[in-house]
Amino acid sequence: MTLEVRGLSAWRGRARILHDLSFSVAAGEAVALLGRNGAGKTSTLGALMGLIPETRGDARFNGVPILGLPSHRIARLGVGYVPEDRRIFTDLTVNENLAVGRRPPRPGVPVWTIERLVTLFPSLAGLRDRRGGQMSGGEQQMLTIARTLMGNPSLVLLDDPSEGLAPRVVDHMIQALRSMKTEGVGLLLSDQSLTVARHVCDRAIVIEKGRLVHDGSVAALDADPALHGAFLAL
Amino acid sequence: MDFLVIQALTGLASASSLFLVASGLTLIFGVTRIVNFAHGSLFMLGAYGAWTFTSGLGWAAHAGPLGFWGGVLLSALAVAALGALVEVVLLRRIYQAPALFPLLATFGLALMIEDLVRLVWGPEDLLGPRAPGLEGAVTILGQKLPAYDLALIALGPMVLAGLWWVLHRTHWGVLVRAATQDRAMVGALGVDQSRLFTGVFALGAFLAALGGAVQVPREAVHHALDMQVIVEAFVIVVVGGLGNVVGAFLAAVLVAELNAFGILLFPRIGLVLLFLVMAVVLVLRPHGLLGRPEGETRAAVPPTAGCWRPAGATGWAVGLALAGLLALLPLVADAYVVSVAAEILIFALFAASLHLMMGVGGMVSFGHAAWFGLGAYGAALAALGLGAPMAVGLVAGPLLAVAGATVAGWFCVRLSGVFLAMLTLAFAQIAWSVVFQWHEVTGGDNGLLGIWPDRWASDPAAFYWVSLAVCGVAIALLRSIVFSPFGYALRACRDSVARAEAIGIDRVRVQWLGFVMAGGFAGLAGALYAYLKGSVFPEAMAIPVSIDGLVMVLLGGLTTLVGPVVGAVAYKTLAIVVSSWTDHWPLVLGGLIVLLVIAAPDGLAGLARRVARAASRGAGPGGREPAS
Repeated sequence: MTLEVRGLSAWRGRARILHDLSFSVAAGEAVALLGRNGAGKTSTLGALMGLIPETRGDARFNGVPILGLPSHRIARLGVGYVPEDRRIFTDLTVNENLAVGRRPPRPGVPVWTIERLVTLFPSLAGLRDRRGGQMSGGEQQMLTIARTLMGNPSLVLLDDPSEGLAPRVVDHMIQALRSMKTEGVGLLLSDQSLTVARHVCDRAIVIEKGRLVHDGSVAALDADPALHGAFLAL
Repeated sequence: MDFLVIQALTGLASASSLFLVASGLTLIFGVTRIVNFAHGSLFMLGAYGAWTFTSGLGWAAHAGPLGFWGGVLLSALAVAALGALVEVVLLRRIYQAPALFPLLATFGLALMIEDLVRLVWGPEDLLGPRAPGLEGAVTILGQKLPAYDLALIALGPMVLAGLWWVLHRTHWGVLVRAATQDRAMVGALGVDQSRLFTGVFALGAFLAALGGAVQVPREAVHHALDMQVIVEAFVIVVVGGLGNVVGAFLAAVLVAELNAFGILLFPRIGLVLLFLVMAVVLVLRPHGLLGRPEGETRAAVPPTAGCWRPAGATGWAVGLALAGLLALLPLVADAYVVSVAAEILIFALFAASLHLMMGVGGMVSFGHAAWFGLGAYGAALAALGLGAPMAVGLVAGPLLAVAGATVAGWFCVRLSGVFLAMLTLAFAQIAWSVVFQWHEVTGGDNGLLGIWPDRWASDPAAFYWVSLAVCGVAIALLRSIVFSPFGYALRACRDSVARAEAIGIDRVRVQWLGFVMAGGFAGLAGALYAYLKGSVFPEAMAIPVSIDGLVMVLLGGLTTLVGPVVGAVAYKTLAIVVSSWTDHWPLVLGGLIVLLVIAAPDGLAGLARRVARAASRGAGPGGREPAS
C-alpha cells in the first residue's frame, strides 16, 4: 500500500473544507479523484502535499505519517505534485525548471533523466533553453509533469491536468500518463469529467462538498449513467 | 568639464557601495518577501567590524594589503553569520505574517543594534585606515581622483557579475531564482525553503557588510550610518524593482550620480531630489525600472479581530463617563503629571489617526510623523508669523497637514503593501529635509520657539482640559467615520481591492480621502503638541515619531478599535518609566517591538480578548481544534 488516508479533514480559516475522507492508492495504481467544481479535489491534493496548514486525521505514505509535515519533506518521501495552475517558473529555462525538481534516485522507483523525459514528452525536445514564460499552455503542462518526475516520485498527485488544453494536447498527455503508469509510478489525478481518467485510471473516488461519496472502478462509473449524473453532471 | 568627469567617477565609486547594500536587500526581499529594515544596521556593523579588524585591534595595520582586505572580508563574514542567526531565530517565525510585522520586527532589530553599537564602540566617530597600496591619487584629465575610488568603481560591476554567475550558473542560484517566483512550488518539489532562506539572508548580510566595510577608508564610521544607508538602499531597491539585482545596480548608479551632481546644482535639496526621482519612477513604473508586478501580494495588515460594532448607547455612556473621570485629574494631580497626561492624550489622537489609515484603510505608513510635524509647524507659523490666537493655530496646523497629505496621498495610494509603506517613509523624509533645511521659515534645527497657548489656556490644568476636549471629540469622530458609509468603503478596499472595485467603489479616491483624513487628524495632534511644548523642532516629524505611532497602534492592537488609545497610554507610560531608569531606551524599545511581533501580534487588546475567550471556552462548548 502506497498511500493510506484515514479520516482526513481540513479547514481554510473557519470553514471546514474536507470531511473525514478515507481512501487509499496502492503501489503503481492510478486512481481518479472526481467531483464537481468546488467539491474539494484541489483541497484534498493540497492537504496531502502539506500545503494546507489546518488538517486533522491520518495520512500515511509507505507507512510514514505525512499530515503536518512541511511539503518538502513529503516530496522527499517520493510524493510528486503537479498543481492545477502549472506554476512553471516563467523566468527559468526548461532545463532550469527541471533542475529545480531534481532529487536523488530512490531504490525500487523508476529513475528519470532529462533524456528519458524528452522521450516521454517529445514536445520539450527542442525547447530546453526556452524560458518557461515563452511556452504554450500545453508545453507548460508537459514541463510541469516532467519537472515533478525529476524528483523520481513513486506517487504523483496531479490536479486537473487536462484543464484548458487542446484535445490533441490532451491525447499526448494521456499517452504520457499511461507510460508513467506502465513504468510503475502511482497516480492520483483529479479530473472534472472523465476525459483523462477514463483512459488512465483503474479506480475512481468521487467527492462532493468535501465528503467521499463513491469509490469503485472507473469502468463501472463510466457505464452507469445514474452514478454519472448524480456525482459529475453539472 | 574635467571637473564633471571626476564628479561622475566619485559618484560611481559611491554607487558601488550602495549597490552592495541594495543588492542584498533586494535578494532577501525577492526570496523571502521580507523588507529588511535592519539592512542598514548590517552595513554599519560591517563598517565597525572592518574598522576593528583593520585598525581597532592594531595587529592588521602592519600586515599590508592582505591585512586590510582580510579584515574587510572577515568583517563581512562575521556579519553574514549574524544574519543567518537572525533569520533562524527571528524571521523564520514570521514569514507567513502580514507584511507589516516583518518590517516592524527588523526595525526593532535595527534599534537594538544601534544602541549596542554605541555601547561597544562608543559614541564618537571612528576614522579607519587607508587601503594599503591605494593611498595615492590618480590624475585623470588634470584632476586628481583617489586610487581607492577607482578600485571601488571596479568592485561594483565585479560583484554584479559574481552575483549573476551564482544566480545563473549554480544549482543553488537556480533554486533562489525559482523561489523568488514561487516559494511554495519550490517546497513542493522537495527543496527545504528554510535552508534556502537562511542562505539568502546570510548572503544579503554579507553583501551589506561588505558595502559598509569598503566605505571605511572613505568615510568616518558612526552610529547614524544605519538609517542613512537604509533610506538610500530602500530608494534604490524600489526604483530598481524589488527583487531585481540588475535593477538595483542601475538604480544605485542613478542615485549615486544624482547625489554627486544634485549637490552641485541644488546643494540644499539633494535628499528631496532623491525622493522626487523615486516618486516619479514609482508613478510611471509602479514596480520599479526592471521590476514586474507581484503575482500574489500578501495582505499588509492582519484581518480584523471579530466584527467591529458601533459603540451603541452603552459604549457612548462609558466613553463619556471615562472622559468625565479624566477631567477630574487636575484636581488630584500636580502640574507635571497633568502635562504628561496632556501629552498622552495628544499621542492617543495621533495613534488613532494612524489607525484610521492602517487598521481601517489597510495602508501601512512608516511616515505618519510627517503630518504630525506639519500640524505642529502649521500651528507654530500661524502663532509666530501671524500672531494668531490658539484657536486659529489649531485650525492652521491640520490644514497644512491636509495639504501635505493631499499631495503625498495622491502618489501613495497608487501603490499598496510595502511599496506604499516605503513611499510614505520617503515623503516623510522629504518633509523632514525641507523643514530641516529651510532656515528662513522653519528655523532649521534651531526650531521655532515661543508658541504658547492663549492666556485662558496657559495654565497646565486648562490646557489639559482643552487637550481632553479636542482629542476626545476627534477620537469620537474617528470612530464614527469607521461606521459611516465612507468607513465601509475604506474597509472594503482594505479587505479586497478587486471586490471593492467590482461593486463600484473608486478605490483610489476612497483611499486618498482616507489618507488625507488620517493626515488631518495627525496634524491636529501635532498642533496641540506645539502648544503643549511651546516649541517645534524637526524631530517632531522624524522617523522615530512615525515608529512611536506604529508601536502604539500595534501594542494596543491593530485589529481592534480601542487598540490605538490603549496602546498610546501604555506606550507613553512605559517610555517615561523606562527612560527614568536607563539610557538605553532604544534597546528596550527594540526588544519590545520584536517581542510584540512574535508573541502578541494582536496587541494588548487582542491578548486580553484571547485570555477572555480561553476563560469562557472552559465553561462553554469547545471549538474545533485542528491537529496542527
